[in-house]
Amino acid sequence: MKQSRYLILVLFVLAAALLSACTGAMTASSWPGITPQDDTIYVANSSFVYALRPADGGEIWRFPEKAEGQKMFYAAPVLADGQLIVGDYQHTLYSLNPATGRENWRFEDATNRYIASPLVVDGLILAPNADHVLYALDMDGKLVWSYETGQPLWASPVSDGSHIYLAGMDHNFYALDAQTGELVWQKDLGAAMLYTPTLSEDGHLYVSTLKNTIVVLDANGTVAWEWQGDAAVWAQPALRDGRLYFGDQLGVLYCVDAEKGSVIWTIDAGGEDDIAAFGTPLLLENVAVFSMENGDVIGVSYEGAKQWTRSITGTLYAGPVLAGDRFLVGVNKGESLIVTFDLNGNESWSFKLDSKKK
Amino acid sequence: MWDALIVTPFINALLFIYNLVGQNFGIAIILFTILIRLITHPLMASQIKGSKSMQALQSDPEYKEMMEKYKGDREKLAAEQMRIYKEKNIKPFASCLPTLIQLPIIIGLYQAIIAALASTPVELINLTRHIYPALLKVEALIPLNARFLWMDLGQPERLNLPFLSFGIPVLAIVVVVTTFLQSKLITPPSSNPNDQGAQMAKMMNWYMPIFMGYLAFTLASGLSLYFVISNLIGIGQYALLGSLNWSNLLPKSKRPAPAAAVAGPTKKSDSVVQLATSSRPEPQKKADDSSTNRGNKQIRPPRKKNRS
Repeated sequence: MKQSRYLILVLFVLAAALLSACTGAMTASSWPGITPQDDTIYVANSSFVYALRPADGGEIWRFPEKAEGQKMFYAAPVLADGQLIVGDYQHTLYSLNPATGRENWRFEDATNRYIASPLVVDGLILAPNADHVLYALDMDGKLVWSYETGQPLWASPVSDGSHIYLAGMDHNFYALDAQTGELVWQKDLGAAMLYTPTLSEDGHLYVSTLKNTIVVLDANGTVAWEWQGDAAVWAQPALRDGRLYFGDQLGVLYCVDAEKGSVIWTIDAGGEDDIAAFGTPLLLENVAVFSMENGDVIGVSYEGAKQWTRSITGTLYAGPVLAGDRFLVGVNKGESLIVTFDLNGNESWSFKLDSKKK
Repeated sequence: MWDALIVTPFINALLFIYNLVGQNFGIAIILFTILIRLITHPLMASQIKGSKSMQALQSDPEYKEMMEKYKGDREKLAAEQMRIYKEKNIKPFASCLPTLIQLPIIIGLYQAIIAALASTPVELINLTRHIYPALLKVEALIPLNARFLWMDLGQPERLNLPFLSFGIPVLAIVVVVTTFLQSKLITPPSSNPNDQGAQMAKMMNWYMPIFMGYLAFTLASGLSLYFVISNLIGIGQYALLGSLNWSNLLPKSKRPAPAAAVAGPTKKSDSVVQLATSSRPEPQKKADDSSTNRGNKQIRPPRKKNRS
C-alpha cells in the first residue's frame, strides 16, 4: 500500500511537470532574436542571451549563467550607448554589459512579455510590451513616460527623430511625440499589426496587417495606398530603390512598386504545398534572400529570377540577418540554432544549442 | 488527423462562440465547456449508471457467494460472473466505454483552449492556420480579447490588492476547492473503508486537488477557468443523476468500540496498545464479520499459549 502511495505521488509529480511543460506559460516559444555587431553576435533564445564570436560562432558569454525557471528570451537584443538592452518573456527588461553579460539594471514595471525588441532614440529606450504599454526609459532604466494602447504590442516602434511610430495589435497605428509620448495621431487600419513598420527616407511608413494587406501611410497618417494580398504577410516589408520585397503565408514572393503599390514580379516559392515565406527578406547587393518555413533559404535576383536555394534542417520563422561578410539564419526545431552563409550563399559555421563556452 | 478531426473544429466552435458573445473569451470558455459537457452527458450518464450497477453487484449476496465458492477456479469464476451479468442485465464495460469516448473530447477541448490563447508569434501563426476562413475572419478575431474580470486569460492568474505586496492566486484556490469537492462528492461509499481500492480513492481525493491547483497556479488562467467550470459541471451532472455522495463531506462519526477485536484499529498505535493490553483470548468473531472486517485479521492479538 505504501509503495502504491509513493507510485501515485511520483506519477502526479511527473504529470504536473509534463503538463506544465506542454502548455501555457512555460512553453512560450518563438524564433531566435539575432543582433549582429562588428565583434559580437548577440542571440536571444529560450532561457539565455548569448554573445558569440562572428568568426566561428564560439560562445563568449551567456546570460543568465544558469537557466532560471520560466525566464525566456526571444526578442532580439539592442546595443546602444554601451548597453545591451533585452526583454524577457516574463515582464523584465534588462540592461547588460555587452562585453561580459553582467547585469547593469533591470526594469520590472511591465506585467507581460517583451515580444518585440526595444528601440533606442536620443537616449530614450522605447520598449513595447504585451501588456499594451509602450515604456519609455532613460538609459539608467528609469521610466520617463508610458503610452497605453488597447491590445498587446508585438512590434518594435520606429522613429524619425521627432515622432515615434507604433503599430498596434488593436488595429491602430500610432504617432507619438518622441519627447513626451503624447499622441500626435492614430489611424485604424482594420486589422492587427504584428511587425515593425518600414520607414522610408521620404517619411512613408509601410506596414503589414493581418487583413493580408500592406498599407502605406505618410507622416500625417494619411493612407497613400493599400495593397491587398491573398494571404497574410508575416514580415516587415524590406525597402530598396523604390521597391518593396516580402513573402506571404502561401509562399509567394513579391516585389511591389513602393510608390504606386503595383506588383512588379512574383515567384511562387511555396509550390503546391503552399510553404510559407516568413520574416523580412535580406537585401544584399545582387540578391534578395528569403526564408521559407520548410528550411529553404532562397536567393532571388532583383529582376525576379531564382539564383540559388539552400536547405537547412528545421523551421524558419524569421528572415536572414546580415553580419559583416556573411548572413545568419535563426532556426526553430533544427539541428542548429543559427546557420551562417557567406554572401554567395555558401554555408559557413553553425551554432548548436549544446555548444560549450569556448 | 487529430487536429483536423478534433482540435480544429473545437477551436472554430470556441472562436465562433467568442464572436457571438461579444468577443469575451472568458464567457466563450464557460459556454463552450458547458456545451461539450452537455453533448457528452449521455455518455457520462451511461458511465455513472454502469458503475452504479457494478457497485451494487459487489454487495449482492449471490455474487459474493459465487466469488467465495469459485475463488480457486478462475475459469469457472469467469463463466459464473458472465452468467450473473447476463441475468442481471449488467454490461461490465458500460462504465469504461463512455469514459474512453469522452477522453479524446476532453483532451481536444483542453488543446483548443490552449491553442486559442496564442500569446506568442509562433502560436498565433499556428492558430490562424486552424481557423476556417468561411466561418471566421482572422482580422476581426485577432487579437483575442483575453481579459476576463481581473484576469488576463493567457497568463497565470493573481489578484493584486493594494495593501498586499504579492498577488493572491484566487483561481488556483477555487480550482483546489472545486476539485476536492468533486472528488469527494462523486466517490461512491465503500463497503469496506480499509480495502485497497478505498484507500487509493482516499489518496486521490487529496492528491488530485493539489495537482490541479499546481497546474492552475502555473498555467494560463484560461485553463484554470476551464478546470473550475468543468468541476462544477461534473458535480452538477452527478447531482442530476442522483449520484452525489454528500455523506463524504460530513465528518465521520466515530463508532463506539464495543470490543477491540471487532472494531479494528485504524492507526498503528492503536493496534500496539491493543496488543499490549489484551490479556484474554479474543472472543470468536461471527462468520459474517470476517467479510466486512478483513482488515482486522492482521492485527488480531496472538493466541496465548495454554500454560495450564
